[in-house]
Amino acid sequence: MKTKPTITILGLIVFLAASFNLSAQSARDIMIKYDKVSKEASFSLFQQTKLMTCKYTIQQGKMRAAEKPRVSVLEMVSEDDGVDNKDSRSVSMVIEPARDKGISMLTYTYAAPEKDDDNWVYLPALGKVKRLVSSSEGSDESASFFGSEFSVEDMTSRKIDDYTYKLVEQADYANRPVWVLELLPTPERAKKSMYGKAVLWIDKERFIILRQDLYDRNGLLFKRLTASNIEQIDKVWVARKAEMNNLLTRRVTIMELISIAYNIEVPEGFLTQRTLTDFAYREKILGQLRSNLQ
Amino acid sequence: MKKLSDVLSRYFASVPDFVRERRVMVWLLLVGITVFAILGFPRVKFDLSTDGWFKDDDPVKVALDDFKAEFGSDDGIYIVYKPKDGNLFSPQSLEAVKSLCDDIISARAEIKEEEKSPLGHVVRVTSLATANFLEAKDDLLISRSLVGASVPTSQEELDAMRKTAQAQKKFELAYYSKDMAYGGILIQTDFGAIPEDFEEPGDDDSEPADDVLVMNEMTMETDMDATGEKVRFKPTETQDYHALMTEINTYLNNPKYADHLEFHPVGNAVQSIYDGEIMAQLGLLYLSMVAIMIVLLWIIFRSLSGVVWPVVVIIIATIWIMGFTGWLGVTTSFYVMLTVMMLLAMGMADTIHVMSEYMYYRNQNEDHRTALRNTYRKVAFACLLTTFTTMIGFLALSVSPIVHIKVFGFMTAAGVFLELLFTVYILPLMLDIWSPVKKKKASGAKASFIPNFSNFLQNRLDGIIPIVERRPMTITGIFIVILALCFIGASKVKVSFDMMENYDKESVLRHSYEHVDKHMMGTQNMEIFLDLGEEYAFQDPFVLTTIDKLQDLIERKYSNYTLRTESLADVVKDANQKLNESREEMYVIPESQSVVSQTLFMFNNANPSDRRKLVSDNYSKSHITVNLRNTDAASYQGMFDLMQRDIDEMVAGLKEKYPDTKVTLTGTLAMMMKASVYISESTGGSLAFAIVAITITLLIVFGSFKAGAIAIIPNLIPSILTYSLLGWLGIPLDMNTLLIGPIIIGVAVDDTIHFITHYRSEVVIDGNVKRALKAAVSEAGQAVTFTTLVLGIGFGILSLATGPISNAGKLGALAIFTGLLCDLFLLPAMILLFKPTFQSKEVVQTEDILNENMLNENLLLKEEEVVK
Repeated sequence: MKTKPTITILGLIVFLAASFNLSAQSARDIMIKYDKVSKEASFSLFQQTKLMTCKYTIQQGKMRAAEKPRVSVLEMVSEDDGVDNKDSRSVSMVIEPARDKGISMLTYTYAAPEKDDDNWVYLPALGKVKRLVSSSEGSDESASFFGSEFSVEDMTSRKIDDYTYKLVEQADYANRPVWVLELLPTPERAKKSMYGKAVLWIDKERFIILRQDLYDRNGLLFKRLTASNIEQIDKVWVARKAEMNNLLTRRVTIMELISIAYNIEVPEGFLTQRTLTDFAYREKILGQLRSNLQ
Repeated sequence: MKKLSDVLSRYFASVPDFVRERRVMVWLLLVGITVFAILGFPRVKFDLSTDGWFKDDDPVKVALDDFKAEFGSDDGIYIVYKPKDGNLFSPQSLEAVKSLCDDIISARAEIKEEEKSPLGHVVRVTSLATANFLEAKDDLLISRSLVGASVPTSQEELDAMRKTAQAQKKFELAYYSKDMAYGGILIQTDFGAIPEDFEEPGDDDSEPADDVLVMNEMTMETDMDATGEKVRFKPTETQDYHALMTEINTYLNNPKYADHLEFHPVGNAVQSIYDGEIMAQLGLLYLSMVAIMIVLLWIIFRSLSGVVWPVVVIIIATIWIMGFTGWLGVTTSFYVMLTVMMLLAMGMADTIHVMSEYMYYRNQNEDHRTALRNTYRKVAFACLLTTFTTMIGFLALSVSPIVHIKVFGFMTAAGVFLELLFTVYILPLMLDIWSPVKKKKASGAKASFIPNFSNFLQNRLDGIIPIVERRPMTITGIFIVILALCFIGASKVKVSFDMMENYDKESVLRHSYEHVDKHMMGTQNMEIFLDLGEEYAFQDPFVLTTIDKLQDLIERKYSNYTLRTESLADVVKDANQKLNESREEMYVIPESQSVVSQTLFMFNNANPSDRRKLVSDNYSKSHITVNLRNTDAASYQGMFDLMQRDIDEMVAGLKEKYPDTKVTLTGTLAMMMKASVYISESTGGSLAFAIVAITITLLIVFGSFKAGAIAIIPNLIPSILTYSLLGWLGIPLDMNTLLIGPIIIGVAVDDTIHFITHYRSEVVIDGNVKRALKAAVSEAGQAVTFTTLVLGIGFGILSLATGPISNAGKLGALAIFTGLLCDLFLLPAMILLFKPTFQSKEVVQTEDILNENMLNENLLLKEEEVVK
């Protein structure tokens, strides 16, 4: 008689453990699927983006710009690279404002966790290409993406093995069915990341992140990314508008997609340092690429 | 006035019966409100920081808030360390510093979400070992820390590391001293930088938050009507500072680091630990004051209830004041201990008057109820009057724009009022429960232990009037000369204070501050906050060059005080050099605006938070930080004035190109200077307020201008004497010494009121001034001497405290005793010379005279009893 409750409790524990594991497993699976869908959707792209950044205040519960927003327009070309197309190369160039025109950044990212990304920056006023190396370990902030509230870390896709995953719930968000996932960086990743936790709202059908809440290392929510104006372009679901709200510094950046073209043919050698310095060469190729835009 | 006093006296006589009828309700109310007040204790907020001196809308505070809104807070802990092996770059020293920084960062990173650890306030920890810098090698730009993952062991590598560190201009004095004997660790916190309305959104995550929708609707380009509402920041509680520092201290005391390094931490968080100690010390002084008061009460009343009830009344009044302060959300300061001490001394007077009067009547074989009734009829009005003048003294301090002083004035005045309230309405019920046992005669055994001062004192007092009678002119003359000297002395007073003077000279904290001032970047700062009113103005080489020149001028011209300056110009010069192969000659502001712009673009991308601390997002606002040695306000004054002139000249230059340029000064130096101005401006105002208000009160009470003037003059001397002593002895007028004047005048006048009341009742009998004076001194003298003793002890105890509060204590005690001398010698002399009537002409009705006479007779008897 005495064994019965014990067995029941054991059974319950096993069941709970199994379901816990299931949730962990499925959460990770969702991320793998998400990763796969985004990778497979396109192997290259060319886009024009507008970044608007300003400080804001909250008046009567509403956000208001506290100053004239700073606007910059970028062009970006990116292409998958390496084994299984897991690495990538990209170049971003400032079109506006005139003051910064021509400032360009070339980035090579690597899927292998042990390999740090490569960055080169070109400053036309100085006529120099500089390779940027950041020993990110122990550093407490990620570089800013062209002076916006998006950091370079925000612009880089996450590596699956760098996180543990938990499915918080399945719900509706902005009238879409979503999975809500909680991501915790592994101890190794935590040292390099400025985030201690991220919560993601992933659209179940379109496999696109609708919202991200980003917590700092002390568990304080300090940035929120919201995606909107979601459209299908070249069969790829894309948010035409992304808003990064820094709750702590009260600054917000709205990233607006002006135009985009997927799966374009990027000429061999374009995603190299030559593009940064050789104005004529860059403009010639960009001219060709622009014709693909819609 | 007479009518009023009669009406009030009759009312007060009815109070004991009135409250007795409602005793249950009164007790319930008292207990209920007291419990409520105690529940308010945890809400009592302490602010011991410099920011707390100023009101929220004070220009210097507004400037500070604007500054924080733009550039964030710099409220951190700065730890200067000295390696025990004398070498900052020995493997052991580097290892110890690196592991200390790493361990704090890791501990912070490991805080669980639900945990509330003080380390959560740590934002960054930087030192020689961990600070990032930009290094240029060929086409490589490396942003890295000096030491990296592991500390090198070979001498060659260590030497190279030292050279690299020395090449970083911004590291000097921040992370190492000029002689390389000291290093610095900077722990940045989020203290003071969290917006007040910052709310972490909860789990309302099913739908997009409202703000997102609104933001989407808003067209950012066109919404130019934004008012740019000011961000307010959560003030940091002393408790938060204390908790963080306690945590950090566990690291600093860990032998792993302490065996190699000697630490000298400074900053608000560090001070909070010592503030706690000072509060504890004042608490101890308070307890000893209570003990002394208990002994004094025992000597007067020789009865346990005579000791217990006055103490209980005072304690309950104190509890109410503290509790209500908590509930009202008023932020208190150090001065709260001063309030508590003042309430103890002031509360004694009222309760003693009532208790001694009551015992007098009981000794006259009156029954308990009649004795109470008579007691309140006789004393309550006098108590009301003296409480009123005392309150004026404290309220006069609320003229001060310095918040801590204002709060102290209000709190103490309210406390004094509560004490009167309890003495009138609660004490009768207390005496109902337990009253002093009627004693026919003191036991011989007790009397032998306590020497009889009474006779001795009475003999001396009786000798006073004959002396005054012989030379009233000379005595008045002497006091007038003293008053004149007081005025001369007071005119020599210099306003000054030192941020550190609250702490004992020998304290570890003072030593730490000295180390930082002597070897590193100094403990004080000034921020020159520039708003050029035009976007990207700070990318203009002309602006940066102007700033650079000003920095150079400040560093050279004021090298006695200035240790270093820092601005965007330094960053541009450093980045320009790094982008140009680290060539020495490239440590300059580039001539072309586009080069500056792109250099800053690099800097911003690499390190946005550092950029944000230096210049606004649109490059229209920036600031120059001037790090200074700590010294007193008076020493800074000359330099500050000159420096302001230099700044104004620079701004005039900038205005030629940027006409909307605005400059504000903030930081600790600007706040000190502003506080100096407030002290010198408000001290006179407070004193004048007290003098005028009390003179008007006296005029009304005594019914003639001459009488009022004669009553106020003996009280001017003690009050102005305190300022004159400051002047003659070279003690500066500061936050503590400025309190004394108005308080003294409010307290000292009580004795004059008692004395004149006695005199008036005597002189109306036969018009014989001399006899009336003799009787007044003989009968009121002892009581007045006794209350002077109580208050003198109250102030005197403060002189045992650390720091400048001790000056306030010494001067206060001295002034109280001087007040007694003035009442005993000057007041009679002036009465003899000017023969004031102390009543409105001859129209006083006989009945009134008789009533008054009886009242005052009783006062005299009571006061006699006090001494006996």
